[in-house]
Formats: sequence, structure tokens, C-alpha cells
Amino acid sequence: MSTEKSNKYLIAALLIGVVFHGSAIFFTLESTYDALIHMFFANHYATSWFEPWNYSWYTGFTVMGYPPLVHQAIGLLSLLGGLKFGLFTVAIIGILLFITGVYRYTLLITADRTVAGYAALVAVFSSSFVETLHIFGQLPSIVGVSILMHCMPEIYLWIKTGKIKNLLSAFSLLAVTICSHHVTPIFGMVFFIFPLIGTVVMDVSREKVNSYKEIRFKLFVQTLFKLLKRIIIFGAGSLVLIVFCIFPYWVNSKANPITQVPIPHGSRDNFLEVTSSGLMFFVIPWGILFFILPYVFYRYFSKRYICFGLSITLLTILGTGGTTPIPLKVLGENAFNILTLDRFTLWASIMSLPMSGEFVYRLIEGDLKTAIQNKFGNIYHRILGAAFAGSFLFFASFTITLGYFRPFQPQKINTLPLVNFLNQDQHDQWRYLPLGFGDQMATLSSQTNAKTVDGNYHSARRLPELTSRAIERLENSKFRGMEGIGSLQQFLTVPEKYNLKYVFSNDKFYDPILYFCGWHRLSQLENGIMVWERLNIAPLPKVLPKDEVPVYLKLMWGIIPILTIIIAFMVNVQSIFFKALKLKEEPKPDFFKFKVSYTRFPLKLISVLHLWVLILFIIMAFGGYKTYVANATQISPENVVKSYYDALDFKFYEKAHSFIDPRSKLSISQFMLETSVADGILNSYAKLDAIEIQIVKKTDQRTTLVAKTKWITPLEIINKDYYHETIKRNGKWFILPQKTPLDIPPDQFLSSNLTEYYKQGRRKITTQQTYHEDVLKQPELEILSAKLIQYNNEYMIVGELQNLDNSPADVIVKSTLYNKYDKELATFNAKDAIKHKILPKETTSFKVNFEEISWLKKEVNKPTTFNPNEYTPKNIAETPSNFDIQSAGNVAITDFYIQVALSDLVVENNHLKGTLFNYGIQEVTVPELIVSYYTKEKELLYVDHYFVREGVRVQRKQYFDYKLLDLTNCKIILSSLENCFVNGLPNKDLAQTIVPNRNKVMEKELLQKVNGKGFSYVKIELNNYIGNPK
Amino acid sequence: MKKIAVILLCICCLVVFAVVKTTNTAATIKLDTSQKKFTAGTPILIQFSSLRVVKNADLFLIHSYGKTIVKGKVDKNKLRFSIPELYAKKTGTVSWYLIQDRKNIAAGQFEIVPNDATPTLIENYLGPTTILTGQDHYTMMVAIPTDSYDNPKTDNTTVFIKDQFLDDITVTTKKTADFIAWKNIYSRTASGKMLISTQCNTALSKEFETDITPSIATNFTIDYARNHQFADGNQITRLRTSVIKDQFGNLVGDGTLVTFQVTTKNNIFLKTFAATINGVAIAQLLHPDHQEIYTVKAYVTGMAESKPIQIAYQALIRDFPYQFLEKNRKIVVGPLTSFMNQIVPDGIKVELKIFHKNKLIETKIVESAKGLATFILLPPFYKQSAYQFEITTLGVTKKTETIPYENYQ
Repeated sequence: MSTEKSNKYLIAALLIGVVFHGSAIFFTLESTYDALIHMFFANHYATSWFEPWNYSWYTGFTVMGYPPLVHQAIGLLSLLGGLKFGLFTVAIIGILLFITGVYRYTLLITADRTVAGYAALVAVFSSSFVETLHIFGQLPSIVGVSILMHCMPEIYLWIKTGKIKNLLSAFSLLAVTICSHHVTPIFGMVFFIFPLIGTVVMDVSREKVNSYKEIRFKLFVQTLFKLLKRIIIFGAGSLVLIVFCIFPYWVNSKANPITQVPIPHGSRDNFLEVTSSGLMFFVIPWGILFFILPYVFYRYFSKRYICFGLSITLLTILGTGGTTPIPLKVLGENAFNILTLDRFTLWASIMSLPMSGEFVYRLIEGDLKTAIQNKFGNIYHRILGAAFAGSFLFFASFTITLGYFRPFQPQKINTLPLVNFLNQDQHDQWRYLPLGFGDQMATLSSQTNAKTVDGNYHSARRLPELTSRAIERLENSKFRGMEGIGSLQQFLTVPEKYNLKYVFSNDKFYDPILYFCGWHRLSQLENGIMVWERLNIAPLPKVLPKDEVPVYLKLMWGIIPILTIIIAFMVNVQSIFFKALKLKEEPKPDFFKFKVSYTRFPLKLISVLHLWVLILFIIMAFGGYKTYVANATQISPENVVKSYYDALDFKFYEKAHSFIDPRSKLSISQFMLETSVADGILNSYAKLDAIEIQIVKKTDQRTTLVAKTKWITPLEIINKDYYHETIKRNGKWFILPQKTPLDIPPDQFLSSNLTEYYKQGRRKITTQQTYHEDVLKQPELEILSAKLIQYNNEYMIVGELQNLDNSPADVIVKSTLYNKYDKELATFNAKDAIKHKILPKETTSFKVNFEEISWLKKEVNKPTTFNPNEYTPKNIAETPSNFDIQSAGNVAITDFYIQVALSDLVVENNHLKGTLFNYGIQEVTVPELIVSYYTKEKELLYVDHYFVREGVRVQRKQYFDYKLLDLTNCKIILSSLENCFVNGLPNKDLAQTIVPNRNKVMEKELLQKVNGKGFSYVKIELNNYIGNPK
Repeated sequence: MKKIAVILLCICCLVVFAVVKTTNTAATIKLDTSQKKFTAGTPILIQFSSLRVVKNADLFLIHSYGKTIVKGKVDKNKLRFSIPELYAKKTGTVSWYLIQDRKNIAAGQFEIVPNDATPTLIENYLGPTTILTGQDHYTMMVAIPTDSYDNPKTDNTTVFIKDQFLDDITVTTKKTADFIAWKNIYSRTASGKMLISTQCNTALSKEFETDITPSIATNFTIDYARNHQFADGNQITRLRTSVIKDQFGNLVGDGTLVTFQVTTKNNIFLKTFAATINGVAIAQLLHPDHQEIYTVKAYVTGMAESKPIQIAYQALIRDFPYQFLEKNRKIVVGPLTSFMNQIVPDGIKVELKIFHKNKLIETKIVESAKGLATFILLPPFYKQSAYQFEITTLGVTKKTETIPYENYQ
């Protein structure tokens, strides 16, 4: 039996680690950023182990874009107890591997089992580990780096002693690392293994002389050459492993290079400017370790560890992201934009763990304790120790609970109703798109066979609509500003291209854009998610395209990763057993020879540490002060107005109310009533983007100012000026309350009669295709006019159409431009300049813009600010000489709110100023004006649309002010109904039988005469979006 | 000798056998089956025979289901082929080629005809399922009578096509041609549901339906109703169409959109919309807030219209009081009183134009509350010594004197 005792610190660390993390993951892991994605991948392997092609996301993608080991492990375990069982089991294994890994790595560095035990304890609570596991959910990364740490002693021993056993062991572990996470071994080579080799060389040199001091550069080089053979053998072997183990990954990377536009990542921000990124990617990963950073550096810059010292310095600097220009220069533009830099901080913090363990050991029972007690006394030492331990634990629990206090994900969604919806009535024959799901979209994907155009692993995106944009998902496109919403709008406008028929909306924000792109609500599921549907979409073809890969790659991908685990287990199992059970006296590994004795803690270092902590405290205090000053809300009229809008934007009504002049006696309930009665695009769907205050009139006690606000809405960017009066009372500025509309609706109680519609769908309950007689006839439409126009160097199609049928119609207008050789130049659908749902005999004007897949070309400057209404017009090099229009009507049953009257209109100074009056019983959230312009011959010239900022409440008025366009450079190129088709048939054929004698004069009577620039008449049509139908 | 004879005989036999074995050419094989027509669903056997023992061969079939090869069965000098059951159930012409040793040695064809002995089935298609009233529109009923094996019956099979509309039931006899019997069933002048069915022998179809929906609207009239005739900017005028019908007197389809265009005195077009219910569309319009004459005309765009009507609104007030208070810094307009001397409903727009030396400086708009509208001119913002004002409300404009103001330091 061994005389060596079990390391009680390590055992304690393992026990605490499993209990602490093992129980916490059940509350955190599923709301992390990545865990659900890993689960989705695992599900893929569990259902089709050898087939790398997955149809669920991005119109199909290959899972060979991510090393498979962790996913396959979860997948295998899921066969035992389900996906979540697999996920949690792998997570717990990861925790164990990490703690033991830190222990072995520390043992290698310090050669002291007690110190290594302390390091393992520190590792359990280290905030970088807590963050990686409980906030990011990066299991492969954790497993990868843990195995790498296990591998390091073996590498050391191979180079030092040249025992084949160690080399085999090192290779077996490295292979597991490679199969878990590709980035870890590649960068781990540079940042962990190179310094390790340096340390070995240093140690071997040390054996030739009496102390590290005597090692000179020459000796170092000589030793290096002596060991070079082993180093090369190891290096070449690892290279072969890196290439071989995940060979299909490299083949795939070559075949599908990541040519996409980089996605912004918080770790590349300037942490001083974007403090939230600073918190997530710098402050939290470093945590309390940052306070002892001078000690870590001091130790790593001692001669033995000098290579580690250089490595950790580089890691620390690279981890600062965009705060300093150095990472960009070191990595180069390309790597800087592809890598997430937080991993450098993670590695730096992991690298500091041995030294932190050592520090803690010396503080608690070593020379540092003695030094402090001698210098400052017992009590100071106790306080210091308690503060250190306390803050360490506090930081760990702060990190683990961050997701609870500041949720990173939308509320947990019950996916069962969605899965049921997709399974019933063959809904899974179309693609769907979740909106506002967060990473939970991956959960849904792993539970259903239905496919989505979106996805959650952005490196695998294939559609140019997605890869050309810096958006990781369509699902959260509102957070990606212009590019996000622009991209989403294209998917929603031309959904037939992707067989996209259903949208699951978990975020009201997207509702208006869905409506104006021609979608309608289908039903609200039990979990509160609204299903939107678009008509006239063909189901997915039975056979979908896929990229085929050779069988040997599939076999490699399916067999090698699991094989590496089996081999690593077989190679290392003996030593694990011996070590754990102490069955056999094992010779102490070679690195135990280089133990440092902790006898005299340098006093200078104590001073430096105190100074460092002091500096950090000063910086924190300064930061706190700055935050306070920036938030001093009432020191000037500008500040109070800004704060007022900020408060309103976040719906902090109480705070907003506190800025209102207290003498105005406006009660909070009255204030809230007044601010919340108004619905509309600004009040319900807008996010304040910028605010600029201009003072109009100013005195000491009173100011009139205008707040120029800029709001982001799903439809467009809105600039609106608000006039405010502010007043000074007791040295504080207040806002005088706005006057509220006093308009009284005429009726207290009213009734309304409407025609409502219902579609049976399949009348017989059957799983077969809908019976022939249950298929509704498509409503007949007639295109009344169609013109190809050129406006501002852009080609567009404008026209008017009417629903001739007796059933209401959902209208899709698709137009294509051709050159004189009938070659197709561009094709697109009418987006929001059309009324998509029209009643029998209703007409609507329409406009088709030909949009380019936005920013497909790199040279086109991307707009820096967000304007969803903006798009890249398709660059049509040739002059189109012909066009066609394919319109399709389908029976619609909802969204025909017509009870809004244009009750007043003034045409002055090139503006249309009017009043809308809502006489129905639904509150109109976003009224849209479709303004058609006509020439003096009453020929249609142009169609424009305008979203009225505020909604129209029942029996109330709403004013609008629309600026007429200058159409002097708008010209009609071609006016023709020749190539217009309705439901696939020529436009005229059926229309003539329904309306044989169309009264053309009547249509012209409806045009308002104006004196416009380039036009003489306008026509106003209304398209009303009801946000909350009652 | 006898021995020799036996040996010779044996040799002869061998020779003959060898000859038989090797001279099995096409000329020696002939088709036994003379039948050229087979009934679907019955077994079909094609038999060939030869004078001598035959060698096996394949029968290559071209059938409407596709091409296939059938292996034969040799029975001495007979060669039999059994057509697969699936093929034997399907009507049509079948071509065959007899292939022996990769050589085509015979060919021919036969026909499979529908099996009239089995119960008749009938397959139907009707479309479109909605048509308009009138003489020009029709829906087409297609009937395909088949035998039990889904083979269309031979041409000239009799099919009855029946349709019902209101009290009127029509039965037409049609003969199938090219497998189908069809009829264009013309629309009627009344709207409603038409039921259609077919029959062939004992086979009956289910009930099919086509909705006859009204044709486009014809001209109509409009009318209005309101609570009072005053332009108070608050009450509602209801615009109502007569019952809109198509040319045959059917109510137009529910939900037909009617646009009411309102022309003001200043030739501005206002609009309100309504959809019909039982032929009547009722739209609403807010009263103007000043004296006005509206000309209203309604349209079903491109199809029908009404004659214009005129609606006159009387001014609510002829005059209104105003006063200057608090060193002329507060201007109170009102009380605005209405036609019965009651206070006007809240929210009446009052506009104040501020002039200094005949130059417009600012326009302020305030809504009335309890009949009063208050404007406050704060000294710091209005520093001049005199202003003149123009107040407009409910279509009445009043210009004040030039009002002096104390100087502001």
C-alpha cells in the first residue's frame, strides 16, 4: 500500500464541485447561450449517427462544421435517458474533468500536492469557469481545456524522460481534446504547450547547473537541441492527430469556407465604452483573481516559468478585445473578426489558477500568513483572509445568479404546443420561422421534424441572405438593427423562395412587419405564442438537395471521436486506478524535483499587491462616481428631458412621472393613464435610438425645448420632434405636463355590424390531402394598370388591382423585369406598399421594389445606423424593356378593417395634412396611408406608403402630416397589361367575363387634384393594422 | 446384327435429339392463343407451340403500366406465359415480343377491355365551385364511369348528369367519349347553391355543389341620417346605400366594398368606406367643425355608382367671446356655446395666431375644455410691447385690437 495519503483538498473540491455545480446546472444550463445548441446537435447524432447532413436549419447544413465528440457523447447518453440526461451527465463529467485537470496542471507547475489541492478548490469557484458553464454553456470548450490540462503532465514527462508510455498517454488525451473542441488544441498548442516545452527545457537545463540563476541562454539552447527529437516527435504527432482526428472538419472547412460577414461579438468591443461587454468578457472571467494579478505575474515571470509568463501576458492582452488596438494588430483583421476573444481571458484565468492556489495556500497556511501577521498583526490577516474568501464566494454566486437577475434569454417556452402544431395537418411540410425565441429555438428544432430557414449555428449558414449580414439569427433580428430587420423583411416578403409558411412570434415587436408583408395571425397557442401564416406558399419538395460527402468521411466522423475516448480510457485507466486507489507505490513524476519552497514571501510584493488593490479600488470608485454624474437627472433642462424619455422607453412610468412638475398636481395614475391610452407604432413597437435636445427659448427658471427623437420600429425609422416646457423648482428642473387631447367621442355605447368569414379547410377528418371539392377557388383579381417606372435611377413596378370576386382575397404580387432578349433581370414581391387583404370589389395600388440581397457586395457601404425601411435596390445594369406580373389571390378571412374615414384633408405647402376618424369598434394600431400619384392625364405614376405614427382609437381622430414627393424625375418607361397574370391565367381573360363594361371614368373621379412637383393628382388608400383584435 | 441396329438406332436418336436441340428456330414456333381481346381481371395466358420440344423463352411486354419480361413455362412442345395479375386488370393494348436467345422471334399484340361484369364505379370532378349569376358562366361536371378495377368504361357508356337548383331538377343523358362524360351546367339568374350528381348503371355519385354568387353591382342610391345638422365636429352622419343588387336582382355578395367620396366646398375629397351586409353598406362620417356643404357619391369601383347627394352643415356659432386677463397675459376664449346655448363638447380646436407688427410670429392650438380655451403668453417669451391676435374656432375667425404689454426685463 502506498504511504501517500489521499489529497483531502482535492476530494473536498470534487465533492463541493459536484454538489455546487451539479445542482446549479439544473437551473442554469438550459438558459445558457450554447447548451441548447449542443443538445440539438446531440439529437442529430442520436437520430442519424453517420449522416452529417441536417435539414432542420438554414435549408440544410452539415454538422461537420463542429467537432462532434461532446455532441455524440450526449447523443449516446440520450439513448439511455433522453437528451437532457445526456446533457447534464456530460456537464457533470466536464466539472469533474475540470477540477481534476486543474489539480494535475497545478501539480505539474508547483510540484506541491497541497498547493494543487488549494488550486482545485479555487477552480471550483473560479468565476471564469462558472461563467463558461452556467452562462455560456460551452461544454465542448470546458471538456477540451480540461483534457488538455490532464494531458500536460504527460507531455512534460515524455519530453523530460522520453518514456513511450507518456507519449502514448499524451497523444491519447490530445486526441480527445481535438475531437471535443478544435480551437482549444490549436491555440492550446501556442499558449499552453509551447510554454510547457520551455519549462521542460528549463528544468533539464537546471539539472545541469545548481540553480535557475545559472541557466544562461546558451545552455538553454543546447538543452533545447538535445530534446529537439522528442519535441519534434511530439509536435509532428500532434499535428497528425489534429489533422486526422477531425479530418472531415478540415475537408468541410475547405469546401465551405467561412466567407460570411463577421458577426459582432461583445468580446471585441471596447470594454470601457460598452461596459456590459466589459462585465461579461473581462470583469467576470477574471473575477477576484484580478486582484492578485501582480502575484500571478510575479510568479510566472520567475525564470523557470518565463515562457508561461510570456504566454499569460499575451493572453491577458488579447483578452482585452477592442479596448486596446493591440489584439487587432496581433491577430490581424481576419482572425480578430472571426475569433471570440473572451476565450483568451478564459485561458489566462485558467493559467493563473495554479498560482492562485499557491497564493491562497501561502495566505492561509504559508509564508504570506507569517509575513502579514508579523507586519500587520493577526487581526488584519484574519480580516484579509475572510474578505478574500468572502468576495471569492460572492463573485462566484454573483456570476451563477446573473442569469436570474438579468435574463439572457426570453422566458422559458413550453414547446409542446408548437411541436403539436407542426405535427398536425401536415404543417411540417413547410418551413417555419421562430421569432423572439432566443436559443430555445434549438430546443424546438430538436423536437420536431419541421424545418426552419433560420438556425442557431451561424458558421453553418448557407443562404447569401444570411451570410452577407452580420446577424447570427433572424429570430433575434431586432437586436441587429438595420441589417437584422432588413434581412427579416426579405424573408417575410418573398417567403415562397424558402417554402416558409409559418412564423411563431414570441415578440410583439415583429407583428406590424408581419402584417404589412402580407402575413396574418392564425391562432394563439396555449403557450401564448402567436402563429402567423402566409398564403400561396408551396410545400417543400419531397426530395431536398444536400451536399453529399464520401463514405469514408462519414465513417471517420462517426467512429474516430468515440474511439479516442475508448483508447484514452484504455491507455490511462491503469494509472488512474493506481492514483485514485493508491494501490501501488508509484514513483514520483520528474517534475516533483523542482518544488519551490515557500519560506519567505517577499515584502515588496506585499506592498505591490496592496498598491494594486488600492489602484483597483480607486478605478472602481471613479467609475461609480462617473455613473452617478451621468445619471444626475435634474441638473439641467436637457438632462431632465433626456431622462424622461429614457424612463418612458423602458416603461419606468414612476420614474418618468417624478420628472413632471410636482406643482402641476398630476397624479401618477392620471399620468400613466394618459401615457398608456395611446397605442401606435411609436407607443407600442418603438425603441428609442437617439435623442437630441435643442433649446428653443431659455430663461433662468423656464425653458422651451424640442426633443428630436429617433425611434426604431420594425417598419421604419421614425424621427419625431416633441416640444416641452421645463421649469426650475428648488434648484431642480422639471417638465411641465403635456396637454392631453380633450376630444370626447360622441357615443358612450355603440354597435357595429360586420361580415365575418370562415374557411372550413378539410370538411372530412382525414390525414389525406385535402379533397378536391374542399379546395376553395382562388378569388378572381384584375390588374387594372401596371407600369414600369424609373424613379431616382431605380426601376420599379407600380399598378392597381381589384378583387372581382365575392370572397375576400389575400393578394400576392410578384413581378419580374426582363431585358430586350427576355432575359430575367430581377424579381421580387410587393412588400408594404400594397394592401394584402382586400374585400370583394376593393382595389389597392401596389409597388414592387426590386431588392438586392442586402450588402451582398462588399464594396457597398453598409449603413452604420439602423433603418428598416432602407434596402439595397437591385443594381440592374441593363435597361429593362419588359416586365411581367404574377398575382395570386387566395381566400382570406381576417384583417379587413375598413372603418377608418378620412374626415378632413388640407393640401398646403406640398403637404397632405389630414384627419383620420375611426368609426368602428377596433383600435387601429398602425394606420398606413397608401398614396398613389397620378399624372395630369390621370395616369398612375408612383405609389408611396406612409405609416401614421399614432394609432386611431375608437371614435377618435388622429392627425397626420404627409409630405408629398417630388416626382419630377420619375418617368413611366412602359405601361402594359400584356404580361399580367392572375392565378396563372392571363389577366384579361376572366376579368372580361366578370366586368364586361368597366367604367373607367369612375376610377378617375376618385383622384384628388393637387399642384405637385411632377404630378397632378393623388389618391389616398388606407390599410389598417389592428395590434390587439378584440 | 441386332446389336448393330440397336447401336445405329441409338446413334440416330442422338442425332435427332441433337438436331432437335439445335435447330429450334423461330419458324418452328407458333402462337396458339388466338384470342385478341381479354376482359380485365381475368387470367390471361399466352401459349406458343412447336412441333418439337421447345426451349424456354421470354415474353417482353409493353403495357400501359410499363415494360416487363415474363418468364415462360415449358411443357414439352408448349410454351406458356401468364400475364401478371396487376397487368391483367388494366385495360389497354398490350404488345408482346417473344425473345429467345436474345433474338426476337415473334411479336404481336392483344387488348384488355373493361370488365362490365364487375360493379360500376364512378369518379367525378366539378369545377369551378363558385360561378356568377348570368347566362355566360358555367360549371363543368366530368364523370368517369369505371369498372371495379378502375378501368374507364368503353366509349358510349351512358351517364346521367343531374343538377338541382331551387325547384328545378334537370337530368341529362350523356355518352362517354374518350373515357369521360361531361356537361357544362350553365348558371342561373338567381344566386344560390346548385347541387349536382351523376349516375352510371347502378353507380351513384355523391352530392357535389356549386355556389352561384351574384354578379357585379348595378347603380344604386344613397341616403344619410344624422342627429342634428350642426357642424360641431363631434357628431356622426351615417351614409347608407340602397339595397345594392346585381343586374338580375340578387343582393350583391356580403362584404362588397363601397367607397363614399365626400367633396367639400373647397373641392377636397374626403373618404369613408363600408362593406355591404344584405346589400346595404353603412358608412359613418364625422361632422365638420365649420359650416360646410358636403357632396357625397358612392362607388363600387369600376362597376357601379350612386347619384351624388348633398349634405349641408350649419355653423354651430356665429360669434364667440374672448377676454384678456392677468395683464393681458392670459387669453380666455369662450364660453363657446352651441345651438341650444349649451356648452360645446370638449375638444373643440381653437387656434390663436400671434402677430407682431402684422407679422405672424406663432400659431398656437388649444382644445376647449368646458367651453373655454386658455392661452398663456409668458413674459419671458413674449417680450414685445404690443401684439395682435387672430382667433379661429368652429369656422369663425376674429381679429383683436393691438394689445399693449408691459415691458419685460
